[in-house]
Amino acid sequence: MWLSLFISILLLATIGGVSHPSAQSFSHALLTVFCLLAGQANALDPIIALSCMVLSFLSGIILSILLRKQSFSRSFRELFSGLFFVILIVSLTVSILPPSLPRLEYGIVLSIILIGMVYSVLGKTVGGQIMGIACALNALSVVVGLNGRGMAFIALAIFYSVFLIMSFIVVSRLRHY
Amino acid sequence: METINDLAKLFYWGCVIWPLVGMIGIFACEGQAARARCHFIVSIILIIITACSAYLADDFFLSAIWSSDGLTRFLRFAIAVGAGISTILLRFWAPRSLFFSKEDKRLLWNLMLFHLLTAVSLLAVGVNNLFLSLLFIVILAALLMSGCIFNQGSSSIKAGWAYFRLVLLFAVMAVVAAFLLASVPIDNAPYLAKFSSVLLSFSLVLIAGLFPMSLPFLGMTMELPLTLGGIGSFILSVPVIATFLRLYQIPAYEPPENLLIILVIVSLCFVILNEQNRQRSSLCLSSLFLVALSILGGIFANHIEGIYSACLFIIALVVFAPLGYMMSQKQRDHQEACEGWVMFALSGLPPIGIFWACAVLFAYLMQTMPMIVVTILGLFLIRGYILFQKGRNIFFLQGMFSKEIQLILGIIAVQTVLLPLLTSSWLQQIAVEFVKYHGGSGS
Repeated sequence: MWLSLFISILLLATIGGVSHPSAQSFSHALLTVFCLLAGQANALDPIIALSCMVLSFLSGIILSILLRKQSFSRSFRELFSGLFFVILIVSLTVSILPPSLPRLEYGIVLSIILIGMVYSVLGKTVGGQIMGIACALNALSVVVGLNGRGMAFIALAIFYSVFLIMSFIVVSRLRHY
Repeated sequence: METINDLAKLFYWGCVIWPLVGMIGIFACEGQAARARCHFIVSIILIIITACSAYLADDFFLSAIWSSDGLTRFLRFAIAVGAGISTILLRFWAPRSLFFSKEDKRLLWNLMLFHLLTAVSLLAVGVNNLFLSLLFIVILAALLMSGCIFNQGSSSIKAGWAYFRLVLLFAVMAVVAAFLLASVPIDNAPYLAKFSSVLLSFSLVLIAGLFPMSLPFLGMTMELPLTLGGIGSFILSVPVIATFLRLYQIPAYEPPENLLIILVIVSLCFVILNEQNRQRSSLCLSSLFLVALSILGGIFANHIEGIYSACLFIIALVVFAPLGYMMSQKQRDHQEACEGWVMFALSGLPPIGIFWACAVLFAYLMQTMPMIVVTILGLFLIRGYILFQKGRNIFFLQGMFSKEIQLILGIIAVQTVLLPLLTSSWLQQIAVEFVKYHGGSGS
């Protein structure tokens, strides 16, 4: 129950968006850590769950430093498409997944990934685009942290590091874009 | 036996380490001529190492991370030969403009990027695990983006960043789909395997470059930077398609044939519609065309002909990467004439270029789905008409017999006619082996 609650708040944070990416990245990472903490008792491998928390928290701190001079605002179109995808993916996942699995959590996590994609693609500013990917990666770290095995965690860690390096390069090169 | 195993292990890692050694060598060399010489020597040694490694039975590497089956060895061989051909092009085709180019730094970065891409793609095609192969694909996209940043201005950085974001996000989607496919019992979830397979295949098709470039509403420009258009779209597609073939190693994977065929036809239509726009690079469109066709081969990878044609397309993808790079430099004397021949080779007309790969695929499709093959052939004819009507037939008029043009034609013929002929029994063996272990019905 706590897990569902925290993931739902994570989803709200993703859709609503705080206009300052620094604050949003930090709060998003913190919420991801809460989600992982709530589900840690049922996690497949507690060490991987803990590592995912560390990974997410560190990326949140790095991003909040990186994006401190950026700002962005979500347009009505972005908010609307985000909500549309939430409804679509949650209903699809609930109807497809077997009852033995936490269907609601899976649905919400999948929709965060999809919303992250949409925001990252539609975003007009570098801050908004980076936050879109960060949302998707944080949601992925919830999936990997709770159900992960070795290879998936390695992939997630590399995804995070490549993404952080690339965002650093882009932010330093395209300050005013 | 022990010695052979050690030797094979040495060769295997040599394939990966040697391009990196070459990169350091190129960086350390002073002056253009020395760099070009270093690049030449490194690439020739790479071909020898890879050829030796491919012919040695290095089965001991079969593990959760690295696979060393026939397909891997063949793909590694194809990439090494492509790298060697690029060297011949760089060394002999346009030595003058290369050595006296003012943009010294750009050449250095390009050569280094090429070696790095070769090393990463050699690693990527040998990966046995879907998560790790996706990781390599994301790294390749990041490298391409860095190439854009080192080489060009802010508009290219934007395009490179857009490309990287899309690849990363679709890789995330693919990881989620693979999770669902691997971790959930299939018996009590009938639609789950179908849903995850669709999600996984769709994400991989998008990474392979079909749709990121073809959906204008995603905000992706077609005016891709030279590094992406020239080397990127050809090289990145090779590990993606190798991953696509490897999906058959996941027992729960159900290929969504109809959806993928629709995607292929839509992409071919997109290529044709954009071919009329002169500002958009025909070469970049041709890479989409090739990727669409190799995915069509990959759909039928549980049949011998499917994997056979996918491998033939991959050989073509590898050789057109260096050619694309050369074409994109925009400073050669015989630019238009060379481009004409390259387009001819990519149009599927006999006897050179992608013709043999298309022939294998169509012969198989004719038996099973005649309507689809008629549609695709129709699209081929329309594209050929537009391509040659557009005034690209300049290669029939001038400069046809110059040294450079003959070299280009020779390279295309060696890679797409001679190499498939020489390796046909090997390819047949790979296809039979693959179908035996991972195929459904066989043929």
